[in-house]
Amino acid sequence: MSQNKAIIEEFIFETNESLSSIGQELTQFESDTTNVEILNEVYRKVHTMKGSANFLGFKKLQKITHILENILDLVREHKIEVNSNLTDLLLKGFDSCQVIVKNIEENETEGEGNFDTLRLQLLSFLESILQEKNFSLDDTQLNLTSSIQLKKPDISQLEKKSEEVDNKQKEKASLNIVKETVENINLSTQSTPKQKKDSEIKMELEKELTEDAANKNVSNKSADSYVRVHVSLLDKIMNIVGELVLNRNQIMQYMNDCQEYELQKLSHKLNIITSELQNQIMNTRMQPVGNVINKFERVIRDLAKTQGKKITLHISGQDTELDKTLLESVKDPLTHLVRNCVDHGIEAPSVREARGKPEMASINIRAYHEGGQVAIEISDDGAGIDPQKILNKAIEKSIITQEQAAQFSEQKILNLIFTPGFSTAEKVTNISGRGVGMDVVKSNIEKIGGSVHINSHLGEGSSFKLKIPLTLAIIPALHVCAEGENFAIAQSNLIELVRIEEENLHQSIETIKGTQLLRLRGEIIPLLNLKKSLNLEVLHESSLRINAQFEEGIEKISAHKNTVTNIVVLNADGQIYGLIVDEILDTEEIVVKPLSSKVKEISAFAGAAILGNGKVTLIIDVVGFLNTFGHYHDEKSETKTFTLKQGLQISGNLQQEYLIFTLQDKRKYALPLVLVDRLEEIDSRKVEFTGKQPIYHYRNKPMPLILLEDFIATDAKPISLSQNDNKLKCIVVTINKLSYGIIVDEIFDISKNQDEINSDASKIDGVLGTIFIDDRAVTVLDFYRVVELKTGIKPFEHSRYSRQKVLLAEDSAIFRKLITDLLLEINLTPVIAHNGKEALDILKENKDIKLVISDIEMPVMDGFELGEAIRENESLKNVKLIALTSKVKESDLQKTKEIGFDYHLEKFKKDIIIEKIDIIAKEGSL
Amino acid sequence: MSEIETRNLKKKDIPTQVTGFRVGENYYGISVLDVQEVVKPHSITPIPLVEEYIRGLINLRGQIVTSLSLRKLFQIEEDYGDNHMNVIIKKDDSLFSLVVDEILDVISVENEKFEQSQDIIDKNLQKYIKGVFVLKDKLLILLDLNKII
Repeated sequence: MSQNKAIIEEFIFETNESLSSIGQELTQFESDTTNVEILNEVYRKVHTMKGSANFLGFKKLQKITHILENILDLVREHKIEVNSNLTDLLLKGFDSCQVIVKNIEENETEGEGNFDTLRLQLLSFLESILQEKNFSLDDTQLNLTSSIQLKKPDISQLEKKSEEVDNKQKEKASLNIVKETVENINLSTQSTPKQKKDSEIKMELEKELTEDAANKNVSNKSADSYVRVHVSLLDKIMNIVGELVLNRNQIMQYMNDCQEYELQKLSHKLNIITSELQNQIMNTRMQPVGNVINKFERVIRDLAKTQGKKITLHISGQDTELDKTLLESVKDPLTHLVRNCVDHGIEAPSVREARGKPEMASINIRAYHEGGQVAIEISDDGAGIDPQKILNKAIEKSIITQEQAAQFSEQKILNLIFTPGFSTAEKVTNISGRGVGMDVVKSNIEKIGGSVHINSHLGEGSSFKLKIPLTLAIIPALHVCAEGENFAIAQSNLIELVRIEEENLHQSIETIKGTQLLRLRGEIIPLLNLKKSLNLEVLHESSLRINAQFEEGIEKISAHKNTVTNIVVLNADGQIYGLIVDEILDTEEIVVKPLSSKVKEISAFAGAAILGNGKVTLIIDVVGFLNTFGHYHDEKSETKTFTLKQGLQISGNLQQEYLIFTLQDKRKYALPLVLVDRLEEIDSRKVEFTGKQPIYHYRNKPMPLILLEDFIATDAKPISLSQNDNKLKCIVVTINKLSYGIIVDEIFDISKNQDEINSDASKIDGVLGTIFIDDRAVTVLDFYRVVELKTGIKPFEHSRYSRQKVLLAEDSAIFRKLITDLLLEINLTPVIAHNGKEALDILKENKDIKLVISDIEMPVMDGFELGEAIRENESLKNVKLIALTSKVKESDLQKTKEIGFDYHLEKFKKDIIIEKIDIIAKEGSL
Repeated sequence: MSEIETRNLKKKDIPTQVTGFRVGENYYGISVLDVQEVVKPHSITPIPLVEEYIRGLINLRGQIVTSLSLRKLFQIEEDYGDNHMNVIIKKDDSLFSLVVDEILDVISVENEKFEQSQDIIDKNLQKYIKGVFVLKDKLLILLDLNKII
């Protein structure tokens, strides 16, 4: 419902906007009937309105707009002339639309008002035209054709009726006619005007008119108080304000040495105004978190139903606002967490009862402000996470050693589930699956400068807390200095500053196995040294040399040694560490600027900023810094996890993750991790057969089991499934809601690899090729093919898409949302354009877009023109084109075909759209 | 590899106007169209952990520019005088500065004088260049920006 609400709001907004301009446009057109552009604009708006109304089930509105559209279409095709009567009629039509929309806005229904009279007028008008001109419309428009030959109503009377209702007999006759003949438009059955007395009809007409008049006085709250602004414009404004903030900082710094009283007063004022402006601009980008979390109601309901669980969801703080781009990027991680909650956190009702908990489980999603950040908390009263099981698993996976495990705090153990390569599958069935993807959740949140905290009490439930910065662009930062070089650290990562006098140094800092540790109020915190980590001594020297001519810029560091040690205690996602710096300077709001491609891959830095004094400073990425330097001293016990993590940090995100396993031939094979749902251990005694196909009863569904030895490792004998009392290791892969179990010998590891799969060597059907992991060749399976070969079932092709970009040109917000959701669902990345011209510009700049989905009716440049422009451009000749319209008209179909669209489809036929995209993909064009 | 590529250089890839500059003993050029501006030395914030030829970041009127030392890149001793210049280039939304010893004028070059043969050029340089213009009094080496940045 809440999702619907969002769409309806969008609809109201859009329709109000259209309606408010249509009146003016129509009048304009009446005075200048040669101006086809205005007419087209009106037509386009009505068309969109009709489509949206139909989509949202607003029948009355749809019927009226449908007729209006038909009339306008006739005008467009020069079959009728516009005169003041027609304009009046049309305007009246739009006025009633306004009434309906207003009703929708106020109470989400179209209201009681019956618009039959109006529709009747419009219809009679249409009919009269038809008859007069004696031509037939194609059947996609109106099924009036059959009626034309049958009836001989008095046309002039019909027309007159729109002004007066005095000719009773004739009117009644005409009413009958219309009623009989336009069945597909389906006039309201209950109160056909035919049954009403004339006086009633008259009254109704009058009432409608007065209502209309009244409505005009009531201000249209949505249409008048909102302006649509493109996000790119907001981004631009944001950037400029960023520059202004910078400038303000510079002025403020300069003012410190200034004696001029007036100037100081002015600069103080500037300071206040700038801050205010900055706040307001940030506000424009804010959206309520509810836009995302309200959708979980549905997710949880559906999931709970399929799993037979009973769950209530409590949401609070939907109104908490977050920057639009940030909100977008927390959507996926949140969804993942919520799904995990239902899937693994909540126990089945029977289990709950046995444990003395209420049968109805509850999940709480809470959003609130905390310390300049937005926190989103997802908690459940389910089983919680068993630290011991995680620990066992981690040791088994050689993520940590037995000795390390003994030293781990409970929190640290829980955090293990965020480690790449950790998957708690096998044996630990009550939390199985939680590991797969948790590292992705974490890295996605970290990417936007946020953090994830986990809290769990065994048997009582667990909670995940996401902390997200309010906005990305301007952050308060602390400046520190080491070896004469300045660095900035985001204050959101800062816990406290510690200053240790020389005489206390030995009590506070200990060195164990080369690691410095800080004793702070009973806790032990590992220390890193900024100077040593970054090798600043060498750097500073070269800096001095390069900057020799700007001596006022960098002072030679004073010879006298610091007698105090300054430590900045930082929180890198729950991992606390201290950073030793030479000096702690002041705080300043900085504008984060991205680093250029040459420097970006250094994860220790989050970006750069320009300070008030005009100097550039690097911003330390607290998490990246720890990952890069946190373990250098720990060589002996350096674990697989850390190397994996470092590998990831250094080489960016082009990597593909693979699950590595062995078959009976003991060789290594790999499956892309994205395909893997979870890892399970299954009981061979429970394997059943249908024909030759082994089936396992998994989560109340039959799951086909696949033995790869049959055709890949043919020299080894497959495991005997019928053997008694045998535990089988099984990789569960879900495609298109169907699960498949691959029986393997041993599950090894998760490995990252960014090389292309070498496909030359693969001659075996079902094998994609080989990759090299740790210098060993590993065979990568083509799982879709494997399933096809083994079960004859053609799995969904969609999961093949790996976020390829698809350009969507659509002016209507509702359809934009509809199609965008559709594309996201099949894992494509929609790139949005609001009209043909925008689309063309985007297309020219993004050569990797291979598919364009375009609406036909659009402002500035319509779909036909867009299609033509694309087809004329030699460099875009490989781009595939799909035209989408609410209804496919024969004449349009002809035209799109001529232009060179590959397909022309209906917007609502989701399955057909997907089908055609699949065909395009199969042809290799995506 | 680069040889084959250079052979296939199309005429439109060879600029007609070149911003010339000197690095060490040699003269180099890039198309004027690639150059945003030329600025005097700026104070530089060095970046730890990067390749040596990345000198650091400079603040160009509020924009952050990554400064690249051509001397380091061409393996000449890095000894820029106080009068070195920054040639500012925009690529993929990032700004870069090529640090050079001296700026020459904008030179109009004719295609006839363009030679793709690179035998005359130092090995260290070959991978960064497109070809050579033979001018009256000197050789002007045309740099391939894509290879440098």
